[in-house]
Amino acid sequence: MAPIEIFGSLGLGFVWGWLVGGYSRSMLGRKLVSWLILLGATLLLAWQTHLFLDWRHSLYLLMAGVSAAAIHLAWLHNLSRRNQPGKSI
Amino acid sequence: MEETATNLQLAGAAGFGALIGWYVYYINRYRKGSIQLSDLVTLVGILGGGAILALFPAGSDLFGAYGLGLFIGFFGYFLVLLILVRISKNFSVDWFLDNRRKIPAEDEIVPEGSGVTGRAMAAGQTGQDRIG
Repeated sequence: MAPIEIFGSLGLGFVWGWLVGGYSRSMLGRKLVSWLILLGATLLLAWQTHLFLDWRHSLYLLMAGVSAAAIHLAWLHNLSRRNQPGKSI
Repeated sequence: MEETATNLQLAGAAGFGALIGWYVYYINRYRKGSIQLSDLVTLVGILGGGAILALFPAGSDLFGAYGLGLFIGFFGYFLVLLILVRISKNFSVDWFLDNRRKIPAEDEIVPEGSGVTGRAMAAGQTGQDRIG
């Protein structure tokens, strides 16, 4: 596995995860189908990475995506909590 | 069979990814209204759609260089925003949360039709956006 392939799948995963983190915060309480669409889009990107590289890189992409989404949500949560003490997102 | 790419090809793929990443942040920032299914389709299409399939042969390093460039472009935009918000007297980091800013002074105006950002990073208000 070349490092550039690993960094590439991580990079794509981070970008996608950051976007999903932003979207998912604003989708709280929405229909299940919305979440399924988001999951489907994520799996589509993972599948494409599998086609281009292999399944391990798909895993890197998913791990990076989950990490970026969590970081983004935590950051927004901290901003929100700082503005409204005692009130969560 | 694994294909090898030249440095120029790798740089080109990374540059292409950086442009796409920058632009993805940009269009997401200026997106109006709630998140629609079409927005997601567009995003997936841009990030990993037909252009990528056509440009980069499977098994080559080019897809990796593209992903790396995408990261640099996307988070480069974010970094520039952070720096601009940090040095501006009219914005604070809370702008990323709900787009807040200072009211223009009495001798200042915001021209009608000038670029209005819906959200800094698609944070939105809880429960207001939806896909579909």
